[in-house]
Amino acid sequence: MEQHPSSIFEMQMDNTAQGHLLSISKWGKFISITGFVIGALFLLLFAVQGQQIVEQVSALLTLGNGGLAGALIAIVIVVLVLVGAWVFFLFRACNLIKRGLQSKNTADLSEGFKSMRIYFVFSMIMSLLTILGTLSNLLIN
Amino acid sequence: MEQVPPNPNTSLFQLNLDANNSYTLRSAASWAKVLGIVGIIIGILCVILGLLVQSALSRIGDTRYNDIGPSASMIGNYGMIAYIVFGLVFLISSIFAINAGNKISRALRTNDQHTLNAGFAGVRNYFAFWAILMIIFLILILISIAGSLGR
Repeated sequence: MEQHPSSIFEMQMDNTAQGHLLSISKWGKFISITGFVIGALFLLLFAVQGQQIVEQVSALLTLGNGGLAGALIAIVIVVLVLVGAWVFFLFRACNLIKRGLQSKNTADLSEGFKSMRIYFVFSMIMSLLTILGTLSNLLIN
Repeated sequence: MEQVPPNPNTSLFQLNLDANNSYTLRSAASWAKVLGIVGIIIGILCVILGLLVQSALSRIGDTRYNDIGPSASMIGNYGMIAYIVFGLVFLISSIFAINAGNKISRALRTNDQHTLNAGFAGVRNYFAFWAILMIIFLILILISIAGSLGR
């Protein structure tokens, strides 16, 4: 098993820290559930009016309606999967942290912190993609 | 009566941050700091982009599409405001993330309970900030849907 440097004096999670963690899990759960709902609505919209959306976007980009419509759908699916995983890890982190606090189980708490770390990593990747997009806009201007 | 085996990870009276917890928490805090730094770069880039869009469109001046609608310089002003607001949102949330990451790392290094609490409060503020923005975004969507249905 992986060993990590340990301290002789373990830190206690006092009531204030536990209150803050509960609050984090509530806000995070709200964000993730709202994210799931928005994603589902987006999927519904794409399923109902996908063809029209593809035609309009293709016409706007003057790409024609042929094979590039498939590429557009593929990009949308990749983005949805990325965002879905991002929101899922936040939801998982919040659930595990809350469960860990309620049952005073440090293993759950640790898994919750791990999921939150993955959520931060995903956030950073998406932020880097935003930077690339912004830089390309800057270069076009 | 059935005996429940004791859970070694469970404490009856208090919750401690053991070595494994400290390690994962410190790692999460480091990523939060990186996320904050990247967010600050995005915020600054957005502000620069807004200023560039505004200056590019203001050069066109009072030109209007088909002689109707808002002028190019007015669209540039709106664009600049939108980009600056977007940039400010990123800057503020990134400051929360960096503060939280720094405080949690320092607390784990020095075993300081107050700093740890302040770090957790920073993470709470970060999530609360995004949640409130999400609520505002949803309200704006509802208003726009109601407006389009009312026509």
